[in-house]
Amino acid sequence: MKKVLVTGAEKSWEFVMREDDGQLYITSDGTESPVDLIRLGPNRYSLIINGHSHEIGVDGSFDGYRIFNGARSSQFLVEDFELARIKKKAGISDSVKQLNITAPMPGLIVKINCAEGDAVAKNQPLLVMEAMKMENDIKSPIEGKIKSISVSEGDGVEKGQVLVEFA
Amino acid sequence: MNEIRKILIANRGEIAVRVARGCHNCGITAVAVYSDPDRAAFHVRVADEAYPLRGRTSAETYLVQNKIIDIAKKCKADAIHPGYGFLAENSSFAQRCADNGLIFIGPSPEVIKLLGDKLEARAAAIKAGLPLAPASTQDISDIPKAKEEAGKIGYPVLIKAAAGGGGKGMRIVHDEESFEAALKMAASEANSAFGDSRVYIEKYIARPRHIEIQIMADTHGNVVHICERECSIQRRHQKVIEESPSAIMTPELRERMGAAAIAIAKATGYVGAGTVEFLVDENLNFYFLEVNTRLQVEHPVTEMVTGLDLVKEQIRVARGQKLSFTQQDIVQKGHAIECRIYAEDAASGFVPSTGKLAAYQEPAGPGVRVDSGYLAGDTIPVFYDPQIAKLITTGRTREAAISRMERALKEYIVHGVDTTIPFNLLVMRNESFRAGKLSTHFIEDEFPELSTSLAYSDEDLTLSAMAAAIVDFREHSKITATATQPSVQKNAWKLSGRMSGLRKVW
Repeated sequence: MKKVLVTGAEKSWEFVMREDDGQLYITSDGTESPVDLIRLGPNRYSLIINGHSHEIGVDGSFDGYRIFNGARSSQFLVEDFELARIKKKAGISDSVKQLNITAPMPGLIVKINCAEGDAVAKNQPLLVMEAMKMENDIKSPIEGKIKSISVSEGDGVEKGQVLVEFA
Repeated sequence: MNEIRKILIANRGEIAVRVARGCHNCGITAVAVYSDPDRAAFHVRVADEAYPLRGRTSAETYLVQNKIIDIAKKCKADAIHPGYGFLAENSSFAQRCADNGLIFIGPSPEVIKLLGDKLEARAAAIKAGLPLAPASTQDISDIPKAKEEAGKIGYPVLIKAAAGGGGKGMRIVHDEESFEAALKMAASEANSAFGDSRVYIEKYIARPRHIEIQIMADTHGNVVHICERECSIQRRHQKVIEESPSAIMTPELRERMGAAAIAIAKATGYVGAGTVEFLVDENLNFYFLEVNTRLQVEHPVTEMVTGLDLVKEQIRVARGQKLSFTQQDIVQKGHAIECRIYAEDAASGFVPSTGKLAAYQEPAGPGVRVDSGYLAGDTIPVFYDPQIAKLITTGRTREAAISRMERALKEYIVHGVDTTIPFNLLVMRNESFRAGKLSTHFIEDEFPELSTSLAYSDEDLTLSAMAAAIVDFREHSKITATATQPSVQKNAWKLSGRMSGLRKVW
């Protein structure tokens, strides 16, 4: 028996997993259901829970899991329930956030309108990015000083890539 | 008759695959060209011959006329099919094809140039007697003059690129105050997209429907209209769902719109496949918008209700043959709907979600057609349009086509990137859509909070959470004492995105 805490999409769930004679069971909200999981290929599974058939995609290439289900995806963290509770009690939380601007979508950097060391105002346009067939101004979310710019004009960037770091 | 045995397809993605299939249907050798990231792309694999363009971005590859013409000559292609986008509506490219003894599959360079210039196209439409919305008659780069023009036409107005298409360089302006900034932005965008900064102003028609007429013309003076497509459901002026027939179409209106489309085609000497676009207001008045001098993205909708193969007809016309049908032969049978499947996250304002298709399985079964540019395991590159495929369903009635679409969307498996499948499902289940009540503002009107409408149901989210727990238990067991939060960067982006609201930042 194993009790786990699953967190993701600003929610959390408690599940109990139990194996009996090779049959896996999952308990959610006091209801136990038999589970059959078969791997179809890399990152792809057929999952039957209490007779309901689902096809699930799993990306486990980071600390948690990105689960694809019904053409949507969401990220989850699976933790041992007791350990998660102890961690919470001890006050272990996220590390300090560093303030930076990341690319909100993949695209091309067309123009850079700021330099390292610049003091910038809130909402000041810093970069022009071409994405979705449009030129978009990327504005400063804060009043602050630019520590570094990690892209050059003409660069293609991926979603989430750091563009500008603040001091 | 012009001999055509080999066609070079100057495009990528689903349309390159579609054209290759059209070539193969006619016993013609299909030649693909590809950029570095597209080496293993579906359009390369489906073609008989394939040659590299060397480079990554569109500007380095699919837009470089010299490279494409050189390859066409070296491989002894007879003709070039441009697909849509890239060089499809580039008159200088069409001219260079002709200069190099290559048949450009499309209208003449002169016609492309004329109809591609929105101002000249408007003038041609007026001459041919088509109804038009009020607009400035010339380029309006001079700001005080432009403001005066806009005032005369009356706000809200639409600023459009003279060389435009696909919503690039287009801005809606509601008052004089925001006019100047919008004009500059539109002109700059037009310049970077088309190398032509000319823009003009048009009266903005509130809540119109977008209805277009497919035309086909041969070199013998025959012009036939192949009924309408309604493409009212758009985001950022780009069509996302198309259908034929339109829910509001009457035989009488179709006849009049078809006649208007034929009139401008005849007046301009149009040859090949083309589309005449109209806006239709609430009183069923229609206004000429523009002519697209290419095969449209949404052409399968027309093929499914008429039984025609438009690529095959294009090739026929390019060979100098007469059309294989007359106006009387065109019968619209049943109903067809197309949903565009993009690698985009609709819940965050349709931002592209590029990456590897970890799992990919297209729907099938009765009344389902998929025109796709990718196969399982392929990566969707960041350099081009994030369209994955077009899903088309048919039925005897509109209701039947919608039900099939809903079923097919549910069957479609795409893992690895976010797609517009949930968005398309939302539309298929929407009451106004089912009742045929559409306008180009459909998305804003029906889903003012799109991200909320698209949110996972509690049931689905719980299922995903259970799946994570089960996979972890059975396969990975990542549970350790040092289990950490998902990377800070991901959380930071999520948080900042939510707090500031994506649209405001942009």
